[in-house]
Amino acid sequence: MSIATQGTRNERTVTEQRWWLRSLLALIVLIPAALAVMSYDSVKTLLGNQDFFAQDVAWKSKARFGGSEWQLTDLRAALGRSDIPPDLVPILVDFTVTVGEPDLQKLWLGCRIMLIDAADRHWLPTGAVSFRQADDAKTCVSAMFSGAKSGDTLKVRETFLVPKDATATIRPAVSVGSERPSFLLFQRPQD
Amino acid sequence: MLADIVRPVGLTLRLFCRFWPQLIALVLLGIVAGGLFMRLATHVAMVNHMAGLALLTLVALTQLVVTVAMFQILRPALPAIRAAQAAAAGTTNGEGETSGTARLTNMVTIALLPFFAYYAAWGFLGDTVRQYSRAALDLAPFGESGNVLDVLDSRWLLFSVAISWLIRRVAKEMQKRGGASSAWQIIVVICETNWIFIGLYVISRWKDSAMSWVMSRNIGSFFQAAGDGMAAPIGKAMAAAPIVTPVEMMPLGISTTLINLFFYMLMPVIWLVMTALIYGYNVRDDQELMRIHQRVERFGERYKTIPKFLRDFVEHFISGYRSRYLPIANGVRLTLSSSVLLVVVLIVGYRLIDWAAAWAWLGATRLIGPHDLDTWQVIAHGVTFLFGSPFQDSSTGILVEPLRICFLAAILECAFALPKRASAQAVGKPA
Repeated sequence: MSIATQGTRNERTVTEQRWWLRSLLALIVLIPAALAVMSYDSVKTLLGNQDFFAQDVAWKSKARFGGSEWQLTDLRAALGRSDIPPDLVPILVDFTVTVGEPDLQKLWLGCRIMLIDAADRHWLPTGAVSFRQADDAKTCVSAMFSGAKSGDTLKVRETFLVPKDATATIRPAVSVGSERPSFLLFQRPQD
Repeated sequence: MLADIVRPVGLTLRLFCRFWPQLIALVLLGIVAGGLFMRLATHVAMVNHMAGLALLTLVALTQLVVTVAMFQILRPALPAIRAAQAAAAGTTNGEGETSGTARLTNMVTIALLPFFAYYAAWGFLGDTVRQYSRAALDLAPFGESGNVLDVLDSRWLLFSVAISWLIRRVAKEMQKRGGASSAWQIIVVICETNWIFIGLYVISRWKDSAMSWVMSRNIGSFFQAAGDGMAAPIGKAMAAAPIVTPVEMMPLGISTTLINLFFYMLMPVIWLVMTALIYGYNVRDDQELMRIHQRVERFGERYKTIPKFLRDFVEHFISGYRSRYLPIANGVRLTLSSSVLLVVVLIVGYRLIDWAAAWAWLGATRLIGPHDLDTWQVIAHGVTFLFGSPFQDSSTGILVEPLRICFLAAILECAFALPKRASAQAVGKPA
């Protein structure tokens, strides 16, 4: 029998057995710690970019979000456009925002207004269709750079194109960089 | 022959089964310490670029210490290596008089320069510096004042090396006065790491500048053309043929293939030498080294005939390096003189572990399926945590690294246990 074969058949010493057990127990702490150290930056980026926790907002009520008060004022389909395929519906979403903290460029960074349906499908605003704006409505990004002061009221409007089958369940949602991973999920208009 | 192949593989698995909690815990400690040192270095660099760079050396040192500690853990299960160490140290029980920490620092001291040379040559040093530089840029708003590597071109670099040298000198003095305290030894190691790390990185930058200067001259293009012509004659001949072949379809020249194969095989051999170095720290038997070749033996005998005062004068300058780097020579000798079959098993086995880890990584990604980029960045860390990264360094994989270390230790143990070596030792022993 070679020396190499004999080697590992040696009896384990008490010290070795003690270290074996200590190391095994240490794994309970070390595995999460190492995972945390390795993926800290990526998890931070993930939480800063994704919308995980929905805050439900009832119809006609206001919610404080990103330093301002958000209220859904309208959710309607814009029918009658001949240039849009029949299985798609243009949707207009209107919000009234009362500015609280005026540093919108920082607080609303990465502002995202979405539509979410019952199957958790998400739609972002589209630039493929546009409607003549009779009022002074702004998009979320243009509102950020509007120079609004504390106490000002802004009309924020976004346009979406969604499949016809989704229109029955879609709900508007708002997410901004300073609040992620939380986002506002508005109840549909009741009337 | 089959037994020679199976023995190291079996020993690898036995070592892994016996020591897996300790080995995995060490890899995890390395990940935690390396990550924290990197974070600390970038934050300190925001205040002082030089201090940040000095702390960065600890990231590379952590990796070395973890590797050495893993080999140290396996030592009780390697009787042939322990027997060789005991024979060289002149003790019978195989255990030195030094404590565990002192032994570890000794091992680290010896492996420092070769490890960093390997680390730099294979591009890991550049990777670490790049990671540090990117992390610092992320910290600086809009990347402003984020160029933390500007110190590498300033005279403050010499100042930093001078400080390290002074601290090292003080630590050496204290070590002499206060006996063999491992704390002073650790300070010496950190100081040495500092200037080796900075030195190697600066040399690699200067090398690039020097090469670009040479290549910008006429003589440079002449050498390049001559080199290309010699390196790929078949490729040149095919390119000159009238049938137009797309450049990506051109076969590699035979010399290029051979060079690629050489470097592919070199890495496992370098790691075996490093293992031999780590375990052979007290195999400092001049006689054993002299037995490499008759000429070397004759040289040793002639050296002894030199008058003693002259020998003492020479020893004064070289003794430190000789005692430290004699194991390197021993390691190289041991690697080259072990059986050819064992070297083949080493190369194939080492590359097989890498290959399997890369496929496990790929398989895991296929199993998990597609996700958005941000989610994938997080998942990729989890997969890399298990199998290492096939694109960077696989040493962070908690399943791969312990296996790799066990395999290297098993190969070395088998090399020490070879009948050829055992008989050579028996002949070498005085009656």
